[in-house]
Amino acid sequence: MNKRIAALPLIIIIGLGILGFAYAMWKDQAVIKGTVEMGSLNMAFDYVEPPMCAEFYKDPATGELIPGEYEDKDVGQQSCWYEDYVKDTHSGEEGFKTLTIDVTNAYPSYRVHVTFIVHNIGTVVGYLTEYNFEDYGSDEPLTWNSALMAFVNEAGQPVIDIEVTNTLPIQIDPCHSNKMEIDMHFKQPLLEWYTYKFKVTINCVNELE
Amino acid sequence: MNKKIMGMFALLVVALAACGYAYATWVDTLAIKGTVHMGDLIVGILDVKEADDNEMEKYPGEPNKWVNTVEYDLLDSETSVHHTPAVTVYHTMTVKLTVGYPCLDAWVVFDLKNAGTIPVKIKGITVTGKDTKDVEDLTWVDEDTDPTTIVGGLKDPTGQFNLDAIVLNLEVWKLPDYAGPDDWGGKEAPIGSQIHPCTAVPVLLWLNVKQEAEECHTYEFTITIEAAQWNWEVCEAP
Repeated sequence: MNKRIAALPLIIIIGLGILGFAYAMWKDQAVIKGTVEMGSLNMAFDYVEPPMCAEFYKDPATGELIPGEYEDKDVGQQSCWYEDYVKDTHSGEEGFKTLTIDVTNAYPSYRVHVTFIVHNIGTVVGYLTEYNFEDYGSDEPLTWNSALMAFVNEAGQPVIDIEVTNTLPIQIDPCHSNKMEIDMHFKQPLLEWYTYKFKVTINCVNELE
Repeated sequence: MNKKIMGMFALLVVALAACGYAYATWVDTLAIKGTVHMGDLIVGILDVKEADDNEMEKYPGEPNKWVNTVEYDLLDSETSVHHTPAVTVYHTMTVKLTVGYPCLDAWVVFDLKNAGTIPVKIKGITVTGKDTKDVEDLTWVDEDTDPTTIVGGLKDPTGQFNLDAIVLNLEVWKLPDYAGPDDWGGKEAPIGSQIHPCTAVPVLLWLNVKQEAEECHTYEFTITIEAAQWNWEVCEAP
């Protein structure tokens, strides 16, 4: 025990000696204090201007698309609106995450064009790469087939063709918006006396691969 | 008794004679008066040569992007009294990216100046970080495992998609041949290199925001560049 106590001062002396060596050098330093404030990627349907949907038919004589229904009929009905309100915490900009489209009493060759505004409500540049289409509440839901760009029935037959008229991907800067359009063309296998219900959402990235 | 008194008198005479002999020697002196003017060791940031990001030129032909800015400031000044004219360096530089997003590259090139009078060697560079929103410390990962370089990333315990994910990549390099924003020349490892008195060396701080960086979060990092007297490794203990 006495030997251990006797060794303690020796250890302390050696320890202090080491510390003394370490602190003895002249030194100085430069410090870089960095801050990275991350932005937000947030693309949404426009808060101010609602979507518009309109009927079209193809003129059998000229092939032109003409507003309304063939021979001034009033058979099909369509409506569209936004859902899922969102507010970006950085920019304070508002918008909606979902575009909803209901089409009732459609018939083969019935066409609906939907125009809407996509708004970059975040703080970083974004690319709108594609839309997600979903049949959200039909009695016999259709499945989205991205290869065919169509909703297909259980037999795999295209029921509604979708055309995205804008070239994607498209870059939208923060606080900027683009007017977009999708065209729906109803085909022969669609059901009679039926309401089709669709939801459209946006896929966006901050950088393309 | 009288004989003893006589003897003491004789001894005293002899002793005084001996002393007299000693003081009588011709003498002269030579003095060495020494003066040590100590140098000083001051290392800091002299100025910033450029601070930018890659928003403008990453994708030629695409619309430009204007969302992020790279801001900086120099603080904690110190003026060296040994230089004529006096040289002021700064011991702290703040760098701020205002709107970070994945794949954003940002950089700052600054002059690291030896404003003192003795050579210095960069002894070490340490990197620490924090996610201030989650109040989490970030862990430095040395990706190239080279002890003379700073090439790595800061790992966040909770990234955007995964746990323990690197959110920021950082690199620090010396640019001895730096000639301007479009002409950086070669890069050299900073740790262990020397900077001579009155000399400045351009240093690059490179930053890359990774996919795992979280939206709306704020990441803070601190890079400490420690410089010591160039001979500290062979200096004996006091």
